[in-house]
Amino acid sequence: MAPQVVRIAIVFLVVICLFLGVRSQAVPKGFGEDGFHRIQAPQMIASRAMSHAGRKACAECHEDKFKVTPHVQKGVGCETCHGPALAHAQNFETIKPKVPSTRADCTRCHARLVGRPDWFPQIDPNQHNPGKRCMECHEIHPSE
Amino acid sequence: MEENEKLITRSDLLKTIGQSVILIGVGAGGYAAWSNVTSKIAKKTTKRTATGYPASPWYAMAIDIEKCIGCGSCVQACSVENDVPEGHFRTWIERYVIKEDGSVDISSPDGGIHGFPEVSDENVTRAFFVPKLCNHCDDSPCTQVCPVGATFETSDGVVMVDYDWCVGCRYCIQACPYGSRFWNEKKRTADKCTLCYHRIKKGQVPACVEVCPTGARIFGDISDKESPVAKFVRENATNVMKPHLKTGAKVQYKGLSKEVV
Amino acid sequence: MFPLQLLAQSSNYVFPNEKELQWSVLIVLYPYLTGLVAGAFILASLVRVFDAKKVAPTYRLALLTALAFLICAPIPLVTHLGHPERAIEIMMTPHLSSAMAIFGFVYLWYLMAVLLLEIWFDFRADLVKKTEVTRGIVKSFYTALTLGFKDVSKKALQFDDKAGRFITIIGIPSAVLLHGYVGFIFGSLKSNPWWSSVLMPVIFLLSAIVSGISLVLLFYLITTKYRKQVLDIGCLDAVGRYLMFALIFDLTLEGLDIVHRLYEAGEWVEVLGLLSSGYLYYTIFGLQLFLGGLLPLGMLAYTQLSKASEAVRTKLYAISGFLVLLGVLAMRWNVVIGGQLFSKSLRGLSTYKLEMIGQEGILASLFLLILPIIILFVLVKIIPPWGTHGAEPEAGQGDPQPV
Repeated sequence: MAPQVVRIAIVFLVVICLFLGVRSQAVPKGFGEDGFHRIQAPQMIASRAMSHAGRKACAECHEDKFKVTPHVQKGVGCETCHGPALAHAQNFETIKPKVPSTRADCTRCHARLVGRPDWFPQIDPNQHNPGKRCMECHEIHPSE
Repeated sequence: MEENEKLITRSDLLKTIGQSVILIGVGAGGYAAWSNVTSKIAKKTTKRTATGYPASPWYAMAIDIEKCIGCGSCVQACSVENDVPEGHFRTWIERYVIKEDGSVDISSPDGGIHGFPEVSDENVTRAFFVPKLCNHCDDSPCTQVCPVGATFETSDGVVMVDYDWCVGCRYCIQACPYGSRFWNEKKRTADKCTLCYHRIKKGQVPACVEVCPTGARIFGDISDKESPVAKFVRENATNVMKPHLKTGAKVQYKGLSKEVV
Repeated sequence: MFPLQLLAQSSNYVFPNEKELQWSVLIVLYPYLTGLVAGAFILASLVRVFDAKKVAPTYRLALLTALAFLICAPIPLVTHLGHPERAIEIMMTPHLSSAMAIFGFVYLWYLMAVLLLEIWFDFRADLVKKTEVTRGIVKSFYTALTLGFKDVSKKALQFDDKAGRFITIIGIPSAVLLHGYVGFIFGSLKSNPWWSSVLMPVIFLLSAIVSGISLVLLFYLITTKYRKQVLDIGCLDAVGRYLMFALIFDLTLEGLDIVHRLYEAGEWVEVLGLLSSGYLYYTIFGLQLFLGGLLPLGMLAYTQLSKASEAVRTKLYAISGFLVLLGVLAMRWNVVIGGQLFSKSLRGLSTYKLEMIGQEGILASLFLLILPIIILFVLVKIIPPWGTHGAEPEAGQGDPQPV
């Protein structure tokens, strides 16, 4: 073999060995065993903390409210109006979820709006008792 | 130019072109065989569940467009649940307003997080809302192009980003035909909907599904016949976004109108 | 000129996540620099493989030009990453279904197995000569570059020449691969109708060839003038002729692409029509097609068909080369930036404002365009490329060089 080729082969061998050496260290363990990704990635993303508790968690303490609330019976979850409440569920004495009280809290869903389907109950906020709080007439959680 | 000073002789040219074609052919063929055999073909020969899905569970979402009221609760809930940077959206709502003259007004102010402004209903023939999110494609263009395996489809069918492995080349954002991916400046990686993987793995539903007041979003394990999403898809005519792109989208829509982009 | 009525019936709607562009001007420079590499190499290979002796004076300069630009090609890519420190992953866990994942390997292959090897075989005799006339640390530097092999016997030089020729034969498909693959990165995305085209790799390749030939032509002119040497007009004429033919192919394909898109008129035709008659109008029709295409083509055709004097021809070659370089840069801009100016909704356009300063501004881009020239300057100091390659026994003698 020509001496030039030998020299170049040595250089290439060194580079390839270097590459393989780095690679053996840099590829995370288990990479590609369960699809082409780090094997621990799904678990890491799954372990992230939640902020919404889910209605089942609410029912554990507030079963009474569940029974009487028309919204709930129609399938609306508690956190749609009260906001994310996992912190409250875990620490119910000190952390309280938001309590909607303004007209805007109701009109977010119930104002007449182009695009809103006809089957959904809507009012015109400018005609429907303007200035009055909704809860003065509409009981959200009627007492039994 | 004199005859004997031809720049290139024909036989030389043909020879080199021939060699080039062979080399490129071998290279491209080898590459195609390598990548295809390892991903797509291998995937098709894997076992499927009795209901025809690659694995169980196999998460999916269905959306009933006729039920969406455009309140923005889902966008709000998602942004809190997933710490979504302001101005970017893992889920968003679009409003389509179709006028008598045939024009279509599409809008999504701030992704619909604060709902939608009142507009005149004059000359409006039809109007509706369409919630959007990542379609968690089974043949997803974004995972196909990720150079390092930082975005992937899990064995239960969810497409996610490994934030600690993503190099931030943004090729996946270019490859997504739905605009579902965005650049997360804080993480300096690509980011997108995870179907609230951290919730569904704990037996919860995604935050957007939890707070949707009208049940416009239906989530579940579609490989389970009894799941709400399997039932919904079975009982209704549904379609996916941009079906001609054949991305294998898992989010299915009922009442999808031709104006929807 | 474009059917705009359909889009006019829809509001400008851009998906909310698409408010900003993902790939900035840095990603415009990447295919530009890579294209110059491939083009310069293909010009050099004409000498080696096709024995185009007339362009031999540009041969070694073209090789060094290719190397200088290849060294710089990954810089805009890596600096544009969100996590540049993770760049090595592309070679550690390359995802084989991704066109981009192959970049690391294609790049290394081209750098190590093609360019460096060819330059080494070609300049080895010069390197050995250098070790004889230098001393101290410089001598050791040159000795290291020879890899300790100092045999310049006729037999050894003949082997160098044979090896160089062999590497060039491998190098041509490699150069084609290097740049065709860059086109593939864009052309293979079904999400983007501006990019998605089987012609993309071919158009990228041809525009790479015209830009590379132009660059070497300009460098040859500048360095010859600077060294106060006599220009080899025969060489210039030959390079000019190659440039003209490459430009004809390039413009034909670009034209075919436009005609095909307009005729096919898919769902994207309105938004792409709006784009090319609006934001991109001047960069497509003004810079890319007219100034960078038709005008230099006309000038080159004039040099071929008329009996213009040598001085006039030289000037026309220089102007054509410069215009082609500008036009190809505009073409890269139109592809990379243009492909991001419309929403995937195909119902709206956004804009891109190039900033002056900052990591992705005009100044940074200019620096990235000048850096390879600085590197070339250093390379030329280390291994002067003047004259034909010394390792070719016959070439220099029968064909005296005006150097």
